[in-house]
Amino acid sequence: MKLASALLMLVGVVAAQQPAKTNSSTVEDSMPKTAQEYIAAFERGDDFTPPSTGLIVNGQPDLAALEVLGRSLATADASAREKIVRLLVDLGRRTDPLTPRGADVLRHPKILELLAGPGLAKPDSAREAAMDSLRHLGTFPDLKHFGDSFMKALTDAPTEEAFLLVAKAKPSVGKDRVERLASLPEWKSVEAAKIGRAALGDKDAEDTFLADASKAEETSNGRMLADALSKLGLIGTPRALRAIAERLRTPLIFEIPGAFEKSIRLDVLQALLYNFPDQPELYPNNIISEADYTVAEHYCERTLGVKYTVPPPPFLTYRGYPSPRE
Amino acid sequence: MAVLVQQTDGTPVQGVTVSVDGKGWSGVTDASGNFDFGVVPPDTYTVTAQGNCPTPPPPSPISQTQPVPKGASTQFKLVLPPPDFDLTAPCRILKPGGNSVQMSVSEKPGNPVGTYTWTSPSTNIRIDNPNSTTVTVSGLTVSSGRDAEVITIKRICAGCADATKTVAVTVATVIFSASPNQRYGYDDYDTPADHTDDHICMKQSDYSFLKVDIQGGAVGTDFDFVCDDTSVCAPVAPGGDASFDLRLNSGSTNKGATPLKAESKCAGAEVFAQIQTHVYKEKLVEVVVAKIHDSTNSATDLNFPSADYAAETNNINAKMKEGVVKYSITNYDPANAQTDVRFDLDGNGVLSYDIAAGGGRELNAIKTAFTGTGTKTRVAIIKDMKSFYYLSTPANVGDTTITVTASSVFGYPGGAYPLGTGASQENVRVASSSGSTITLGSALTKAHVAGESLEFPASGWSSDPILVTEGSSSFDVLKWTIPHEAGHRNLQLSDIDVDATTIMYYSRGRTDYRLRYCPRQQRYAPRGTENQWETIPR
Repeated sequence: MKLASALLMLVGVVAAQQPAKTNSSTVEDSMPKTAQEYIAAFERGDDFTPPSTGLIVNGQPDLAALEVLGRSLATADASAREKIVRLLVDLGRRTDPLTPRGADVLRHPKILELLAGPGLAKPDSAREAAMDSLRHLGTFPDLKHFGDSFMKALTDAPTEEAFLLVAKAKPSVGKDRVERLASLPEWKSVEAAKIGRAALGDKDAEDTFLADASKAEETSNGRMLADALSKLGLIGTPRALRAIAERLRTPLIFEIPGAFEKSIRLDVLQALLYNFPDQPELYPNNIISEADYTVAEHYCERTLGVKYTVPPPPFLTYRGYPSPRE
Repeated sequence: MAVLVQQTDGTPVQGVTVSVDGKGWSGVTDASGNFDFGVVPPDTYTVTAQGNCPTPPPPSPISQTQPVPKGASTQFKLVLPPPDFDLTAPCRILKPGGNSVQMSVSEKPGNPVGTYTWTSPSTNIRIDNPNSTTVTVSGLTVSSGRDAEVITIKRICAGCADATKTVAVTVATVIFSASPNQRYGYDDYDTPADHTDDHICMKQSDYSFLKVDIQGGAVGTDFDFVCDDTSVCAPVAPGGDASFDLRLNSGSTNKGATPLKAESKCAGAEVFAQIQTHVYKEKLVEVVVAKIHDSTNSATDLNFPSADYAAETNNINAKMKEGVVKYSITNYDPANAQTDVRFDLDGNGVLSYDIAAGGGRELNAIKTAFTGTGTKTRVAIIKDMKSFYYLSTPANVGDTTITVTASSVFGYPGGAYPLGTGASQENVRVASSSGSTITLGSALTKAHVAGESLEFPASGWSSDPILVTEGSSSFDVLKWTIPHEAGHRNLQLSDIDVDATTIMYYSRGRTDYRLRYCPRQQRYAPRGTENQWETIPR
């Protein structure tokens, strides 16, 4: 009896240590393959888990499926809308021709149109997700076409995401309206509103963020510089972008003790690629040697007119710390 | 002819004026409620009593008519109704040990001033100044049920019937705790029995649930559930249950906090329970996992070649949601196959990691092959690895120090590690290091040329890609190592000491995987504490 129990326990232990093997046919059979199936799954409460399946024709998102998703995006509840947004974003990212080159960009016109249209139709979590994806993955030339739509979203229901999206798209008529909104008591001290002001031409606001970067540099505080660069990236004015790019040879690092050291040069690239997500040479994952940093520098010289005169620091992306053997 | 004036319960009423209609005879009742008109001629008389309390108007009339025969001793009995008075007790839900509430009485117009006595058999409340028109009532202990504590107010006044009223109060508590239906996090701040220091978090523009238990007989509608900053959190008013899930809608802020309170509906809005509510923008962590082997050397074949790390996303997120974090884990190979990379350049069957170079050529081989990953955090699963420092100068027999190419050396645990290869190999103990110089535990027994290796014991590196070795680890350990390492990289979280219940515990022996609000002790210098919810960049 004792032996049998021990054997059963041993079987249990062994089973617990085996990975969950994928039964491909079963899993794939249960995954949605059409837009309607996705919508039904989302309305049931299923989450969206990338990668999407079945909605790509000839390497591009199926336009008929996008129409169906767009209609539902306009009418579904917040939870289903948010998942549709994530599905659309996944489709756009995966099928972009620059993805195999290491870029992470959303340029599909129909998907952009859906995110900027029905995606922003309701003040809910889906709208916030759509705004977040648009500003992180959209290029400035693409986003500026939707400037009016973004301004309306900001005016109708101001949120931090809306300020940041308007900051990136920089609609030509937005400056006064952003100034008015950002000066309201509830927004006056909110950083996203200040970034919006700076992005749309408020020099004083822009100067404040530039000064933060200088101060971080003067005090050799890598973490603070990374934070300041990130905000300058959100502002994205020519002056802010130059200020970021000029620091592409910073020797500063950011450290999580016991985990890793990270070169702030990667944060410089991160802040730049927020504004130029269609430039694979700016992606930290594409930096393998100093030559790759040099390629990124050349892009900054060409595009932003930056000159690099000081020598680069010793090559570093991440310096990992060891996990102990156990 | 005698007159007796009584209350409804038979108690005599003193000081009441009684009169005989049409005769002009009158008098005032004594302490026994009596007045005696003496011997009157036989006739039919109507006797009327006029108390001092006209409110409420007595039943019409308080009089009695009856014949008085000759020589008979006739008694008129008149019953005076109790007077009305006003009772003000706007707040009848009390908190044990909380604020006292005021209750008061006042006379109806025209009534003389009476004296009042407030009494209660209850030991769950205390009444201060019980012989006045205004008292304060305090809750002491929780009631056994709604309106279980009854207070009796008695009014006494000469010439009026005694009057009493009652008011019932409830002594209640409200307790906030984690709901089984919560959608995000709840942190008991290391004090499971004390709910007053707890924290709850939610994703922006979303909602979650908080468990509310009301004890003592009060219910949800007895309280206002309010957040101080309504742009951060907006509770949905509950129904009339004593135990329920309170829905909290979150605001659109990327990072905000405000107290949620259960307030009494009385003036002063006493707080019965409070919890700090946090709203965060959900942090999306995108990770791509490649299972790497080198087909030119079968020793690099993985122990778990069919493991589906992406399939663990939901299990991982079930824990990570407690910090409003969401992982999106994808397999690098669309078919979840192993990725064949020619990385074993030295043919030793494992990945050789050059510590001074941050990985070196074998890691670079993997990095170069691991393309098209955008901004995702890359994790490479490999069968095993060896990490090395390399001698920068030759070392001779008898030397007790060696110099390596690295500018600093990680601390060695105890044990002996191989220095050199082949005939020159020997095991050495590392006593200490300073810069690129390593002091050994004993003198070298063999000579070593520059470039020979000294092994360092590591099972993985937080490099790029993050290296996770299978070694002899279980799949369960491996799958949780991924969010741990990505937690360093993407969430900027430190290794945690002492508390094995968090995903960021430094050792692989974790027992739970939550992210915490309550500050955790950091494992490495400067060994401060870290509030994980707040540290995560949003």
